[in-house]
Amino acid sequence: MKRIASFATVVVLLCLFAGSLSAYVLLSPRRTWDSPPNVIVDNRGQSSISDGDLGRTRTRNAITSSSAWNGAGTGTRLTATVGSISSFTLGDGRPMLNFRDPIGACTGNCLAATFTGYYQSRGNGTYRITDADIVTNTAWNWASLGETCSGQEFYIEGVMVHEVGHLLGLAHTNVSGATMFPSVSACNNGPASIETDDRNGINDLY
Amino acid sequence: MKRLVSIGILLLVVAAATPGGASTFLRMTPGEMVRASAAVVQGEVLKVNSFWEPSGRIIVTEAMVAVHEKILGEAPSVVVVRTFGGTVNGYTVEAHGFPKFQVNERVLLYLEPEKDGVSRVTGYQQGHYRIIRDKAGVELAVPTLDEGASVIARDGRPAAAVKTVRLDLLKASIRNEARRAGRAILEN
Repeated sequence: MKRIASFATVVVLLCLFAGSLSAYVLLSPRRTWDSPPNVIVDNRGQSSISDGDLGRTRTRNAITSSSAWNGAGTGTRLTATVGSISSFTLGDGRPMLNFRDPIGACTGNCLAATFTGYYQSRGNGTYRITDADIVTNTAWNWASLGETCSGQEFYIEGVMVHEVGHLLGLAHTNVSGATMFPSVSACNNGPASIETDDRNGINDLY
Repeated sequence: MKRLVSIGILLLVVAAATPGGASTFLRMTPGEMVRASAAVVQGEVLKVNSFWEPSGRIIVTEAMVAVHEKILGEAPSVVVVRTFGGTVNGYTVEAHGFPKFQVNERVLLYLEPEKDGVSRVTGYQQGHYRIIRDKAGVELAVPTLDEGASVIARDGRPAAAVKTVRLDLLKASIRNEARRAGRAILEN
């Protein structure tokens, strides 16, 4: 009987472990915003985008869309405004999506980088995010849904919905096809729409 | 059976503790890594210091690394390597997928051309290996790529995982790539 019980324990543990390999992952340590952040989207736009608006409005719409994090089912997760990012600084409490890289952090082979900053312990094992910023490498070609995507371009909408997932506290998942899967193909805007795994992750956090 | 249960629990703990990532990088080939590097060195981290960049926009961290061996290119006996993120006065800025250094760790670093007396690691975490010794005393180069970095191939698919290799083989591979690139080799 002891052996059967032990075997059952191992099976349950292995099942749990297998489950953990194929589900959303939260940034560690667990961190969340106290209230939905308002992300300022760089009003200069992305110079390689030729949709007539340099991608700024489509990016704002994508990250606040009901197909993305705000449609996860638990209310508004973020708001966004197209505006000036001239005061871009980690720790100023103003999350920004910068279409350039004023700090020179994302160069060479870096496509986009997210910094989560100034998260403070709540004393219950969770942390408070008070700022997070995204920078983008202009050396790569970007496209938006308002134009024809060709060659090695990446859709700004999909990439930024993914990066905003990090900004909200999500890490990468192993579930292929999910927004938080760590991969994006050229001219594939799939990540702009969240999947069940993403929804489960964001609803776990908030 | 007890051992199996212990292993299962250990795996669960590891899975639960694995941090996730937040920055996206294109995978660089070994040839690209060599061509983009002014030097490749083996050494030891002497000191790590984080501070606000003069612009006040972000915290950066500088590691002083004693160079024990120059595998490629020229480098001073101590190089200062800068990375983004760090903690100052209890405040943390986390730069996901960027190199992180610890005092006393032995490292192999691909270094970009020095600017203002400071170098950066080529290819972010792709250019940073930790050196350890296995039970048999063989030195191994362990990649530092963690979940903080999403590394993708140019076609957008996740790049193949970088594996731990014998340090001598990695050095030989770097020198071979350098020869192919027409770079001067420093034989030791």
